Amino acid sequence: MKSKKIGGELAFAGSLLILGLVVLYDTSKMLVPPGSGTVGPQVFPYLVSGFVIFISLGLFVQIFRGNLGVPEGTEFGEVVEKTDFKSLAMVAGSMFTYPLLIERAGFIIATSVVFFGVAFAYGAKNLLKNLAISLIFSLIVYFAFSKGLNVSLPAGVLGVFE
Amino acid sequence: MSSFNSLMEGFASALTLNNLLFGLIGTILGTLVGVLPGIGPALAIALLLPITYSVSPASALIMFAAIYYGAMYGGSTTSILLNTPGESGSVITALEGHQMAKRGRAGSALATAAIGSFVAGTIATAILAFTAPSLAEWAFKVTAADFFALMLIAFTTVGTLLGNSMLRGMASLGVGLVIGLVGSDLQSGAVRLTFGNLHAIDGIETVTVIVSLFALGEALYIAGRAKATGWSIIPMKGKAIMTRQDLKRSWRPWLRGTAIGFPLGVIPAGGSEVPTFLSYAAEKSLSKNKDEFGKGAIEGVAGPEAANNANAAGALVPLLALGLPTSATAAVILVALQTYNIQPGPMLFSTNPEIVWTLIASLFIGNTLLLLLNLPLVRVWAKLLNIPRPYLFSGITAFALMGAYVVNNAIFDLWIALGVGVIGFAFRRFGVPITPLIIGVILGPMAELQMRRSLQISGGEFSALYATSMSKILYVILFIVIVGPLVWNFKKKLALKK
Repeated sequence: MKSKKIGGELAFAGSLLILGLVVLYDTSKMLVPPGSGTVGPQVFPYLVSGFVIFISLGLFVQIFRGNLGVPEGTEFGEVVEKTDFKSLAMVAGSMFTYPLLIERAGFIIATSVVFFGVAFAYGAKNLLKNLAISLIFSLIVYFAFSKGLNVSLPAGVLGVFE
Repeated sequence: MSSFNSLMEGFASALTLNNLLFGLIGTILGTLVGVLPGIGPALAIALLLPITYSVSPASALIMFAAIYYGAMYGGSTTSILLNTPGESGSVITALEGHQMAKRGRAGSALATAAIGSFVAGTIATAILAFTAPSLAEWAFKVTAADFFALMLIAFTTVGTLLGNSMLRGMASLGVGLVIGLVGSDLQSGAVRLTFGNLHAIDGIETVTVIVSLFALGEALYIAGRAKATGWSIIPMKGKAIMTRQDLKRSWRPWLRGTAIGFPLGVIPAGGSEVPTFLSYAAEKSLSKNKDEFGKGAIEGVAGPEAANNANAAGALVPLLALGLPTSATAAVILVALQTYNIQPGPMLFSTNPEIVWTLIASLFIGNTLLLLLNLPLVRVWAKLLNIPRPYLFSGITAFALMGAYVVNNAIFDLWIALGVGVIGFAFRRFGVPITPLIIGVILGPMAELQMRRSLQISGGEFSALYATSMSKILYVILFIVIVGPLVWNFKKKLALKK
């Protein structure tokens, strides 16, 4: 049980270490344009990568000494010990459809899909009601922004109706 | 006297019918979004940014000031009527405010919060109007090296004061600094961390980072880690008005809260956590009704609420005069100003005085509109708390994604948003505070600029960074900020062992 908890923490500190190393590598390979002056574009990234690596090593020490992070509390009920991967995956999955749909299918469809998916993952049981709310929400936002505020939003496949 | 005249001109440009209308819309939208649980002022403003894209700078500024105060006020409504808030600035308000609501005194709690916010906001904005210009003037003498030292202090205080682990605060800051590096270096044109992606050359949009870190991160976190227990909303009874007795007990806490909140906003103390807590502690120790604390003492709402608002106005002093954001909310405002090509900093007061004074006048107007609008409408706001959880998060997610997209109409920004959303989830999961990341993204590039400027002049001699007397003082302060808490903890441990 305890080792499992540490696993997540170690992965977090490890990612931070990798991030620092990536910055270090990228900076060392950087093409520095001539005439960049005495203090070129590499100094600050080197400092940042050193800082990130230093902090990640500190985190490793902290974790092995048993100082684990305290998951943040929320306004929305108790924080649970084990991650609910099913809901998490559904919410993340819905979010990831958005960049795929926004320009191909248009704002209204992309927004409806995300809205419906997230609401479903959060336990909206009545599918028809959810669908209706998703569509109404997307339509209102679309017309308020594109017509009322002149913010350009992609019409997509529904553009033919305008 | 000249400040006063400029301020009057600011009022003249802000007080047109058209602008007042935008102010009104801003107040309504700001409160509306701020009331929603899970949305704090920084996110509320970031989500509403797209709305201001299409209006003129002056109208946008007044709308923006109204959104700013509206979002803060909305947040306190949530913490009074709803159990357990998550927003740092309102945590303290909830302590007594929610207890008052439980005892049927929600109206008084909301009224003292609203009027206290108004009083504190007005006093603090007035001090802002008269101190920021002189600070900006003084800032002209500040060298690049001094600025760099000042930014290091801001990094450290924001990183260490938030959350319960200094190391984790610093980890957050580090990730922010890395995000800030992405793109082409403005001075040399060298590209950094783009991995061959053409979109990445322009860097990563700060709005995208803020919106996805808060909104997408929160939506993922709640889905994965919170049990759906629902929340208990206290129904609003009666009107949001104060009795004579309430007023008698509130006015001193308002003034004390202002006195605590404003200076702590000016120095980089990392947002509203510290001042609201200090105000609460002060009221508790000064109160004649100590036994009421924990059971709904009105002083415990009045003081922290005033401190919160004064703190927010105080944060505008270093923001406008030095271009230095000291809290997540101030960072969002900086981004918003930059969308209108307004670059806060010492130059602003001499190059764009009309913009500064319109903004400051707008803050006064926004604050007043809020008081006029909110007390009568508080029941309507309270109704918003009944939005079912699934639809609330759907809406937040959809708006956040839209906000990330419309900045440049680029799909690339959406992928970045999703990546940052995942970071937001991980941070919450492992108890890493979020604000240091945002400060890192914004201040990182500025710190680099100042550092290089200073070193360029000295021909690469690093001693130039601490050559001036001011930078020396700042490094001493930095040392205290880092070592102080460590010594403090060590002493506490020793005491515990005994």
